[in-house]
Amino acid sequence: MEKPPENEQKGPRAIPTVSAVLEDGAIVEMVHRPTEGRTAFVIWEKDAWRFSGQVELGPRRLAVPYSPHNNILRHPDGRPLLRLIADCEVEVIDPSAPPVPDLPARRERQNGPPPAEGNEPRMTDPQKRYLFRLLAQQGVEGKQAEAHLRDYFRVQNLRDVSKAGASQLIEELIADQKEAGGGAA
Amino acid sequence: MELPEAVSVSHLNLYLTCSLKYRFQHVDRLPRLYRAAGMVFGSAIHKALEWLHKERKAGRNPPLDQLLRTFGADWHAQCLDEDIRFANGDDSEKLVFKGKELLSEYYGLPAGRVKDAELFFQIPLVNPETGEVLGIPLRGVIDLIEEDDVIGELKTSLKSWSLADLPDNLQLTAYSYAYEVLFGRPTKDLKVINLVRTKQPKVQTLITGREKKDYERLFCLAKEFLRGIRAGVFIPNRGCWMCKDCEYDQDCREWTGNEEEGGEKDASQHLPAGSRVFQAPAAHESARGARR
Repeated sequence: MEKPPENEQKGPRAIPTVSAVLEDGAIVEMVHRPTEGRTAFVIWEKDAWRFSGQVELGPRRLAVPYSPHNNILRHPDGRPLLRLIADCEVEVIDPSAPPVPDLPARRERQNGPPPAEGNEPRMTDPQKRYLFRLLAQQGVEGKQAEAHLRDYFRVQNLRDVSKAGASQLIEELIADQKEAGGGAA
Repeated sequence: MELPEAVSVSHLNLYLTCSLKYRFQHVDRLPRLYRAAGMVFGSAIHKALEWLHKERKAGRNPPLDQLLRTFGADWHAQCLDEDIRFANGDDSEKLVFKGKELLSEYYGLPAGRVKDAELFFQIPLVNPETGEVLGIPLRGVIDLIEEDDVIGELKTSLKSWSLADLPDNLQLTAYSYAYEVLFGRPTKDLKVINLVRTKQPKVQTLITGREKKDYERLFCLAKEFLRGIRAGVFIPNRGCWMCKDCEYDQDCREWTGNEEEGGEKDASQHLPAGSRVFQAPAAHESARGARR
């Protein structure tokens, strides 16, 4: 029996997402409930909002919130960085929503490029600016973006990031953006 | 003196405004000890609008919020590990707020269909009158090309421009020339889109055009620019508009002339090519005192 094409064997691809605006105008924002140790999306559409564990972006693309353990949300020492709706008295409108998968977010992986060593060329200024802009388009901004990059590259100071490592992350972020529905980066 | 590999419009403008700053920045490549907040601001606005125009070129109309995020992120990235000097009364928060106001204003304006954004070019520069070709190409980036052969040049400034500022603007001449070379037809309009950072922020649009004699003048200026560099002519223009937040102010004050071709300023000093000669501290202190 012939095997189906590889892409049909796989389920939809989960894309960790912080925020998005869908084609129909719906606004999706990730929220974090540290007391429950879970993340979810709040979706605003048709003048109403609701919670959901995931959002379909297309036939094979599924936006999922970042893991509650991701360093976007949680400092390596365990302190939460964000408390978006920690104490909101809200009702989950769709209790049948599938549980939030505790996927290791792509950028949570431990095998990010190593820091630059010796005379290895360092991340250039345009690369640094580009990375911050790309992250901002995913909803990761300012100090959060700084912490995220330091953690990803495993450096104390962004000056120690290698040029090659920065290029690699830029390519990944652009690829993610294209998959998530375009964007001029 | 080694010539640049291309004549960039911004380099040409810099040389004409202060050739010594050109030398510090592009020949000696002196590290900047700080950056003027106005430059950082303009650059962040530019990057945000570049992103917006590319989105619009692709047929998308991104939400304003995303444009503002892009601006904020670029500002933040530029301010990391840099000493940013703010003009009196300004600070990071105020400038970010002002930038967002200006971008919101721009975002809401009716826009022509974007055909291209940040279009890089490197083309031969030819004197249209004589056919002489400059040995070094002309290089630049056109901020915005709209349908119907309209070019947009983005600016940020503290005050409005007047129409009198436009005829001698070399960037507009160079972009108009490049457009003709690249697309084989003249531009219809050259638009300066000025995001004015006044108390009540506003976006000002001025329109002008160019003709053959402007291209001839561009050629002559570029030729003299190269001749000046080859001959090592770098002269401070103290008191020009760039001085107030020039990153090389101290270097400029300590400058005591250019060395002769071959690396020697006079027979008693043997310096490597590109070195600068400094006065003894006591002498330069007294010279600075005398200037005050």
